[in-house]
Amino acid sequence: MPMRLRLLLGALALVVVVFAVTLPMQQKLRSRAEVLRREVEESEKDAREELATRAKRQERVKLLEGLAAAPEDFDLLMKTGSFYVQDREYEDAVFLFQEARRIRPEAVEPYRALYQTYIADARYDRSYDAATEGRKRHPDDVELILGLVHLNTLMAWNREARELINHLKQTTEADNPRVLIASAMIYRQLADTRHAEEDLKAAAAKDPQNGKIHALLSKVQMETGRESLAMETIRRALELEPENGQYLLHLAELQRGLRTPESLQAAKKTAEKALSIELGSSDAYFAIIQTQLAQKHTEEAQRMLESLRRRHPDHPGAALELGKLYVRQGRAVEGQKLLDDYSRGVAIADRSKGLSVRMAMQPKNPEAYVEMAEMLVDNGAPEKAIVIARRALQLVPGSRPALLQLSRALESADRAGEFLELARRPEWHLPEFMETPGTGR
Amino acid sequence: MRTRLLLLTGAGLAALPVCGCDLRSQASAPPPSAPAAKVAFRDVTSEVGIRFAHVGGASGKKYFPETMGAGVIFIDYDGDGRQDLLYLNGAPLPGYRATGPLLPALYRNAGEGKFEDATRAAGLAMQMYAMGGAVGDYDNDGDDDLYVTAMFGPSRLFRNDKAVFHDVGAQSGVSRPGTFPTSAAWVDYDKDGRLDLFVCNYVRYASIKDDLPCYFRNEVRSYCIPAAYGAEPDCLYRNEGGGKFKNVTRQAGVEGADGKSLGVAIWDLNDDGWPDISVANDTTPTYAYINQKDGTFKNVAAAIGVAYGVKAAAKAGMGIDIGDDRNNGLPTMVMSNFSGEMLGFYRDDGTGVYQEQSVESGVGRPSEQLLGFGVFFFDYDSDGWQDLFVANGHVQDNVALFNEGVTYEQPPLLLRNTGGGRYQDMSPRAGPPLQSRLVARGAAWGDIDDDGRLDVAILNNQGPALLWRNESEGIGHWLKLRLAGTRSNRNGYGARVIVESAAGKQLREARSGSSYCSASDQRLHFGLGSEERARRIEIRWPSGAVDVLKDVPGGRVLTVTEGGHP
Repeated sequence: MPMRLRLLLGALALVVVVFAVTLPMQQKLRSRAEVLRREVEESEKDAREELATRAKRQERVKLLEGLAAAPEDFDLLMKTGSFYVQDREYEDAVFLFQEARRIRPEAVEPYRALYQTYIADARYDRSYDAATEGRKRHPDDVELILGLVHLNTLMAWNREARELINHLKQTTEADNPRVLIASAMIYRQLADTRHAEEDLKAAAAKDPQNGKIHALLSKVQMETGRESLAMETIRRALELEPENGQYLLHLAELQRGLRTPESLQAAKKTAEKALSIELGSSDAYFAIIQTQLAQKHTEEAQRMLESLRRRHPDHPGAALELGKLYVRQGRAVEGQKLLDDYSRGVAIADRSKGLSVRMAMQPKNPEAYVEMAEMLVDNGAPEKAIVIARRALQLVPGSRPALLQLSRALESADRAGEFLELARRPEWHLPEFMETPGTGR
Repeated sequence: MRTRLLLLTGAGLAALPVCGCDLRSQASAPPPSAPAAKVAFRDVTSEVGIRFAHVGGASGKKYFPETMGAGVIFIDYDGDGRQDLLYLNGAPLPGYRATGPLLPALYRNAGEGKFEDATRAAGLAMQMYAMGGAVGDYDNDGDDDLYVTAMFGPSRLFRNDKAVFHDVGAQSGVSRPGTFPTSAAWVDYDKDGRLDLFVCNYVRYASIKDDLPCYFRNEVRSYCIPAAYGAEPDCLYRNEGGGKFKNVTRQAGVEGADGKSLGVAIWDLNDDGWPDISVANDTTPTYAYINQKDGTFKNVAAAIGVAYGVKAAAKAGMGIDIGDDRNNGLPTMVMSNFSGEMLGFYRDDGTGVYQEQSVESGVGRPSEQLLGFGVFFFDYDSDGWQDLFVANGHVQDNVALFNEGVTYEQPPLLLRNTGGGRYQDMSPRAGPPLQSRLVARGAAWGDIDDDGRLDVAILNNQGPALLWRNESEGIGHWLKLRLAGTRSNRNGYGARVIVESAAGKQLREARSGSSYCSASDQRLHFGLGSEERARRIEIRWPSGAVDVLKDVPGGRVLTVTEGGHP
């Protein structure tokens, strides 16, 4: 072997040896560098946030200084109020919007802002008050009306929601896609899928680039047993908003419904994508589990169900599926408890639906309201119960059962201090149709 | 024997087969179904002399019960071996202008393709707001008695005394007025040889004062939804003997406080020799009560997977039936549901756990837009595989205003089992009746001319009674069994029968109930396909006795008396 070649091979061997010796060290260094890089990034992020907070504080100080100089400045009051809403300091925001309303009672903005702030704070009854009061001055304001529609729908008072929408449909807002969507949603709650679909199609014609409309339309189509049409429609929504996790979950549900090995696999992928977009979404996580169960990947499904239950102990679907698995494994007591929990939830939902129907069909009958308020307090929804109990109180001023439920609801919502004020407010509104005798049904 | 749920068998006892005839471990690839027969059902209602229309007592006020009735019942009340027919009826409700009493109609099968009205002669000419009924010889005197569920008054127990019925409901303790009873089934749940009675109750609706007027879109009067009413617990009456029954609902654990029950099917779900009770509930979870063999039951529906649909929500269960449609000894539970929900189709996967297989089996898509009531398994082409019939019709007469693609009158469904439990929709090819649009409620099968081709009776809500004769050509051979219990109850309800033929091992249970508010022919029908004889018949009676018959010629009705073929 020529000397040159020998030297070359020797050098190569040396390189290999050096590389082999230093490789773990290099990896360690790289790992350390990665840690340091992350730490730097975190520090930079913290610093940015700190700066933003400081800037916000300065902005707030500036606004407050402005208000100190001009306490009756309407625009400044509104701007400062919005600032507080962003920071979830709702009490302060309410004070500022109320001031704005006092200064310019004819302006619609404070009413809208109050309505929205109360909604954000889950003080639905106050939100109701604000929107209703605003409507007295601005009967055709679409924001306030849609706000009231939203609140009524939340309470399952579909009759009132419907009447408000009917009012809007008599105005220039009749073709407003938001109005059409709200209308469709009420129709859907009333099981009138034909008109829900009509409104959604009209909304889509007006605003074809709005993915939400297509997604809602797809839901209605699925609920009426037209899965292939629903699939087509949700794909249209996803073309417009490919990263929308909710749309993806709806698609996954449709794919799961086809029940073929291919469609189940597709459903799993879709749900996984939804989870990657909405990290930590229990709905997306559960959608993956449902697919695992349909594919009979029981062990993996169980592991995921247990993980989901740890993070969301009240997840109803997880209780049902895990309960079934436990019972089948002979863990009868544990499993049955979960199944019983689920059954209780189903029974409560059925009762709630029944009471909603009663409130809708017998709007002047206070008993259904009192019963509903009681059930809502018992099941952790005191904010809604306050609205319902106040309605009962309005129907029968001084009603002891209604007062009892109102006090329970306020107490549960940490608003006990408002009891006397609310119990004594006879001016709280009733919808127009309820004030006219004989038209209650 | 595969491992089954501990829960199903009560206190952890392993479910052992009573005899060596268990089919579950022998399930294998199913032999293919014979080529499809030329299916033809023909409406012979008026031709045979049936002229009856159900009246719900409606006057436009839309009282909730108006839209729910009623059932149709096959019964051989005069013991002549021919299937007679009883169509139930409503009664006037406030606002209804009656021109005379509203009566049910009992049609005696006179043979030669004729039926004659025997309502008065048989003592059934009484007005009642009837919903459903069940047939069973509760006093074991050899003739079939009749229980009729009714609203706005007592339910009736008609004791059959030589083809004349006498209402003994009040003195026997099963009349319970003030409820909204629907389907009922006779079942000897304690295996004392006397038939007990299970009665479904729907919602709390003691009188018309309980009605809640409802409006679609707050504008158009409509029938209210079941959620508007609380659930009414079901009832189990224990036959104490001597014509007396005792309400044992609570102690038996079948109260079902949250269930709005419309249909009941009896089947020994865990194959332990004791009858279990499955209940279809409307918008609330299904019940599957497993007999604990000590006079009590345990609801395991959620655990075994039949309580909810695939979306984990309770469906609108209307009618129900259970059968072995794969000839593998494992039950399939079918439930008719609301439009948009598909038929519920739950199959035991061999471990006592049920998988929802509406789509996979082929019954889901055809039923998707339909609102089903009466539903039953039957082998209409005698090929040895149980087919499926569903009677449909919406509950809202103005539904088309509100639901795209959904109609009030709806076609029935005839789904052919092509072998192994895959179904094919035969409705478009099964004759004009299957094209008709109905507001069907009760539906039952029976063989009116004993030609082995199973006929179908339907009762429309506030519409005509129907009888469709099966005139299919090229069907398979068949055999029908009439059971006569001696130690067991006289009807042999609870007996498990396995017939071996070319189609494999077919399993049936003699039982009352199933479908919606109706009663089918009690005789067990087996399609033998291309074989003229059944190779082997094994009957496991509730008493524990086992009768075995071999090489039995088909084409006839065979009466098997308990203990006659040990």
